[in-house]
Amino acid sequence: MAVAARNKPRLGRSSSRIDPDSLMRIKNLQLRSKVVVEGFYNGLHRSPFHGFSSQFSEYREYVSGDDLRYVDWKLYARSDRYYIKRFEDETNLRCYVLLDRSKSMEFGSLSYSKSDYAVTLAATLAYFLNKQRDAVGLLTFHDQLGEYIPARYRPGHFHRLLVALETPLSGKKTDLISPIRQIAEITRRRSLVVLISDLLSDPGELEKSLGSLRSCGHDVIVFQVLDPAEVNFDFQEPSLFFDLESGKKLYIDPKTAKKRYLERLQAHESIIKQACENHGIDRFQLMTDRPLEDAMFDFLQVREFSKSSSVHRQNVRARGKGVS
Amino acid sequence: MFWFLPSFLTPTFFFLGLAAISLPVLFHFFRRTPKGSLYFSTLMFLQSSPPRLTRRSRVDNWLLLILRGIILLLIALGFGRIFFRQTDFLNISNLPARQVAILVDTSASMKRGNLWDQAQSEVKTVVDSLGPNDKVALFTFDNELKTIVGFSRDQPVQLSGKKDLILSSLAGVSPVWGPTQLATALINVSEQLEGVSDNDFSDEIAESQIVLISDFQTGSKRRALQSFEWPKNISVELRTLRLPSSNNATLSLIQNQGQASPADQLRVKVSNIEGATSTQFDLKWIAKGEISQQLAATAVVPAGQSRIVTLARPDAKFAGIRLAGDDFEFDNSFFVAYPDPIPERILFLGERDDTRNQLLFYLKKACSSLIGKRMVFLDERSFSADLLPTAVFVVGPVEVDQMRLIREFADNGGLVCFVVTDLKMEAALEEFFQQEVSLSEAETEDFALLGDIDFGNRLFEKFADPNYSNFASIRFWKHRQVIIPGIKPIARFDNGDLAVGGFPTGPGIAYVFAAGWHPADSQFALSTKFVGVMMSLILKSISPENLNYELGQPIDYARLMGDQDLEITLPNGKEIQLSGGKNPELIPEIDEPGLYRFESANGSKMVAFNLPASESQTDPLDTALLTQSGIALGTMDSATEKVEIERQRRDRELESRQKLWRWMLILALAALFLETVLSGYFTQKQSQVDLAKQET
Repeated sequence: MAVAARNKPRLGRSSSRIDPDSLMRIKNLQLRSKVVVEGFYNGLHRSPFHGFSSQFSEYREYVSGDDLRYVDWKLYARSDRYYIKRFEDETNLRCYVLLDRSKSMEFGSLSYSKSDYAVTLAATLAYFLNKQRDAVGLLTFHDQLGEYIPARYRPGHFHRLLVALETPLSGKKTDLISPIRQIAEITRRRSLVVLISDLLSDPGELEKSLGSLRSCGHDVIVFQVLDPAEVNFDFQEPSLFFDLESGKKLYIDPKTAKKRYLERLQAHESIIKQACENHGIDRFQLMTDRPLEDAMFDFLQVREFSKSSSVHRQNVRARGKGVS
Repeated sequence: MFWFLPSFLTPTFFFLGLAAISLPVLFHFFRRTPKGSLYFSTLMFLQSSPPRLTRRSRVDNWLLLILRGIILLLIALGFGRIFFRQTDFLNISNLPARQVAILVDTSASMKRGNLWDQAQSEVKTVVDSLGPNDKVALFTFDNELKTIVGFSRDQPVQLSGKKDLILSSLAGVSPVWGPTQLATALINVSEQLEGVSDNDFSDEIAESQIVLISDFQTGSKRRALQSFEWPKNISVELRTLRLPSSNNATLSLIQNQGQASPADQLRVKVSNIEGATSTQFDLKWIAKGEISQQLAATAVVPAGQSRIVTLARPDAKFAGIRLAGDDFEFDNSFFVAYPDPIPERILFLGERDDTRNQLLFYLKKACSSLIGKRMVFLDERSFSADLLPTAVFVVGPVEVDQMRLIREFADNGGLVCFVVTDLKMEAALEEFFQQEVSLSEAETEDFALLGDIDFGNRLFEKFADPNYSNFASIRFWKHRQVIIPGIKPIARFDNGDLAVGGFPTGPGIAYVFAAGWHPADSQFALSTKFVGVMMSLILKSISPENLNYELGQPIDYARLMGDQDLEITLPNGKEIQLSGGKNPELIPEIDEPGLYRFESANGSKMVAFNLPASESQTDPLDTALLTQSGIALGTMDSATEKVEIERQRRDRELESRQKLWRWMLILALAALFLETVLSGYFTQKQSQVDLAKQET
């Protein structure tokens, strides 16, 4: 990540978070994401120290043709030999957002749907990462693959992402398997994969797919977007329930069906949770009435942890080579 | 008042209302389904849990249910427009009388296919739909209207008797070869219907109607309708007869105007109707009643167009041509007869020098280029009462005795033209006009011009158009002052002298020219106007003999054959006699196409009678054109339909008098009010009971 190690903000929850209901009233998706990210930045506590943007890695003997800027003159003074300072290869982050665009995402008991919330989350992450000069890509899916935009950092790319995000829902069912396998095949380089979905489909093969993603070296974060009504099932009147994806209909008396529903939902959640834990994947359940900054904090916390553990691993490797 | 069973003006609404009464009950039992519906993200964690039946599924309050049923019943009665019928049901025998004129087309085009069978069955349909009080008449029409069964008091009283009379009368009728005089027939029948209405039994007549049964071909003559004001109380129902096929072509003769066609050629026009699919037609001669095997010509005529075909004429003075290639035979035979070429005889009295610059020279030139007919110029010795000339030109002094004969010729309608070139003609003119005539040489300084011309006169009417009316370039060097009392000036010189005058002589006119047309007198013969004036002068007295007529066309038989006893041999060999002096325009026996031989003391002639060309225009007529002529089109209802219409009319009157629907709606409102009160009461009572239960 471009945020240098010493310049990292200290993460803390801000009390001035934006109510999602108010946020969703902003029709422009770009403006919506900008509002979240700017608000989020205001809530960060920045460190007063400035440092290098790269981590020292090792010394290497100078050979003809090397850039003289990287010669360590102090070491030359001590040892009368030319050494080149090598730094840890810090490339920019490549992040892929996998966004579920199936019909089930159309549900919403609030004034907006899960899809609206998920799109805003995706746009917010993209804006945030884009602002940090990281490459962001997008893959939308339902029962088939939808839009695919490779991860890039270049002018206009964010706008392309927004256009893809604003396409209306067209899919029906949710297929979590194909897109994850697809992204594993497409991205050869190690990337961060952010899956945004309600995960309301058969979790059977989800574990395998996530495992294959992890085995390719990708970092994976799962945001499970759920509506409060789906989690609490606090309907009152008996109604005819239509399945948004299959079109199937059932007469449901919520009073009698609620208990059984919550049990089965809990079991489903447990399977997903277990699958994520098995592969060291961070999973966050996002209720659509929660402010989006929470998701951002979750995201950054995961990255912070991941980064520090990565640096730690790098330092350990450098010490092992005996150059200091 | 004696009331019968209730009836409804709009029973549909009543029965719908009755059905609606069951709705409250049904709603109770169908309330098992939840009211709301909800789209949910997934049903994978849900199982069907139908809501349990509650007590509301059963009828809680019978009183309210019955009351609501009554409200719906009252509304249904109101919208069903209930009324009580107080008179007995309408009977077919009580229907008011109508007078129906059945008008059947029997023109030649009805000979096609099975059109006549269709017409007969249509008549039967019309007769079957009559009521017992209706008065009916049957007319047929082609060239003229024929009354087969008229409106008369001695018609059978019984309906079956009327039907039998009409149908038996129709059985003896069949289409003839006449044209379709549609307008005349309609006008005559409408006048007869009006005449019947004006009679003393008009009180019984409710309406008058004409049922017109025809194939409505475009050749139907309907022009007379445009100037006729159609009676408002008479409607016409059109019953159109159609055939599946529409291919028809026909022949007609191209007659030359005044100029005979070459002796060995005959020009005919082959016409194909609009929408025809056949375009190739063969022409063959008919000789002695048999069609020749040899093809005379083949004509390719696109639909809606016509082509002229020139045939090599046989030697005989008459012939028949047969057309093949279309679907209908009735108009495919065409007959033609040629008159003997008789030269026109012009008596020229005066200087007979026909060298250049003389009067006769220019007259001969004008006549030869004028009509192409052979002209014979006679002198005074050839004039006799037995062989009268076409025209007489007097250009010089003539003996008084001969002038008397010429006057007699003029009194019988002969054309006499005086060209005053010599003052010595005064005596002859006085003899002719039987009054004093003054002739003198006019004095002109240089030349005279035609100043005042009556372009309304037959001589100059061709030049009435301003493009051709300039006579100012014709100079007259010399002319005579002619003073004849009573002469009508046709043209005057610019000094006011008479140039051309006309004097009525019985049926004819004697013309007087005050100057000659030859260069010694004027430039008239050298001008382009000369031929035109001569043409107007002579053509009236020349009438080429016509031996080709259409059936139904009036013919001046006296002119054709002389005022003698006439014997006519029909195509079928039958002979009829006509005594001289009667001069009928139409002979009933001449009723089919063919060649008729006319014989009289003056000789024998073959005359061809053909089907009227209009009958061959068999493409269907747009009947909207009849509406544009002001005819009120309508449909004739059968007696049973009439009973139904009459019953509905009476029902409407009865219902509008009783107006029971108002009472029904008032009662419904009252019941609705009661239902509201009771419903409120029961709800309040129930809530009190529930409250008491909760408290306990």
